Amino acid sequence: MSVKAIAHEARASWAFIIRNFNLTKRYWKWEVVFFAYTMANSVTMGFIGKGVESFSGAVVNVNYLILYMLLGSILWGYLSILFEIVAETVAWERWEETIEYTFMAPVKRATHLLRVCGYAILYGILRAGIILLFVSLFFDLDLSGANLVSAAGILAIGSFSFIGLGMVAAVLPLISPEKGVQVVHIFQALLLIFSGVYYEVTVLPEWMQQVAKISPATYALKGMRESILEGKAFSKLWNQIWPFVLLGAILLSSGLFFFNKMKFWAKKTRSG
Amino acid sequence: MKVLGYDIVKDVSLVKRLINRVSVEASFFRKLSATENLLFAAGIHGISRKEALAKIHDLVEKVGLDKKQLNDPLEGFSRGMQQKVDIARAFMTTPKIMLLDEPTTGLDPRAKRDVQRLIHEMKNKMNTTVLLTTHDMGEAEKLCDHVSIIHQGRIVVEGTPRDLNLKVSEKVRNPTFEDVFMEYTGVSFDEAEFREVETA
Repeated sequence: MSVKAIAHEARASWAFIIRNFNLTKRYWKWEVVFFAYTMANSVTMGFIGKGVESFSGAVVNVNYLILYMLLGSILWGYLSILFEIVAETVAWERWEETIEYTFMAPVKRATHLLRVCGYAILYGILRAGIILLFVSLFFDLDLSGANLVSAAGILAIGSFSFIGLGMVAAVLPLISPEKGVQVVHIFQALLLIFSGVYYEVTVLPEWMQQVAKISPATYALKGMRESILEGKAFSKLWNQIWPFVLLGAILLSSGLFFFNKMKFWAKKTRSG
Repeated sequence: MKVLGYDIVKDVSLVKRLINRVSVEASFFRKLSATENLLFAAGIHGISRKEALAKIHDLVEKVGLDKKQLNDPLEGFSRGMQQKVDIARAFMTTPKIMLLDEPTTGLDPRAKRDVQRLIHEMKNKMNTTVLLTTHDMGEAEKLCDHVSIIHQGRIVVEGTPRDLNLKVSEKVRNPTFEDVFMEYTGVSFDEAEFREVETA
């Protein structure tokens, strides 16, 4: 790739990031509404954690339990925003009918999708951090032993796999502008059910545990919990990192391949 | 198939750099401003922000847009104004080939005249080959150097507007370009419309 071509792709990348930032800015009131919704979900999970002691009668480490539930809720919120931005970017372009212009532009599809995902990761991590901070203050949680940098690192590394899945999810609005985005949420819920969102994977039936092994969310949850609850450093999380790298490589390339195939199909059948 | 010597499959990226388009409905991110939309379009065509801003400044004057409005969301613009921004967006990439798909359909007479003048000026100033599709025969005669009339999926006649008018003038006295269309398609407008509805 020549220097000129690299500069071309870099400018295109930046254009996608700025475009998404401008869209978020323009719809800031709706962003606040959805942020409040995610916050309400996280607080609810916190109260479930707090209530366990009263209805079970058992003595539990409430701080630990709330944080455990909260991390599941944070990942749920993070994946929601990630998949939503990626899927809605295509859906948005369908509503505005700008998708033909974007597809006609001399920019690689990988650049297009990866930058949209890149923006979603940055925005998602920022949002997750604010939620963690807010809920911790709300429940007066002790985060002194938590390794927040390590948790953010896990989320960032894991995002490569999530991007791959996000690209597959982005195909759905391409196929169906009416229902595609909603189906993305079902896809996300299924992923998290298998990954131990509010529980350990070991409580799942055996066949579900096998599926959990190939879900990147399993490693994201485990890594985040070890960082926040046990204060583990990023370098000590190798058991979660290597599956991420492997799954990231597979899911990213197959996600891109699948998106291109479906884009071709949508063009051919005039769905796109 | 090749476009200006480039294979449309093998050299797809190069071909994309040579082409831009304006469609019947100007499509934008309507919540974003004209500048934000134009900068995005420039960016995905690999144009730097500095160069894009200079081009926007230049094109905005050419297309007759009010600079003060450039930072307002496009959803507040009239259709004619949106079409002008669309034309500015398309010419910003200095394409070798410009595809115009019924660019003045649905515009009021003043906006239509403005857009036609703009297309004419841009075509000459930027040395761009413009491929215009239209049902407006007056527009075809006014803007095109070479016209192909397509009927039932086939080109039935082609030539300069003057030549086509001359050919038909042997049968029709002082023909308009609509008369030229009637002559070569062999049907009246009403019949043509009826057939179109029937086959849709």
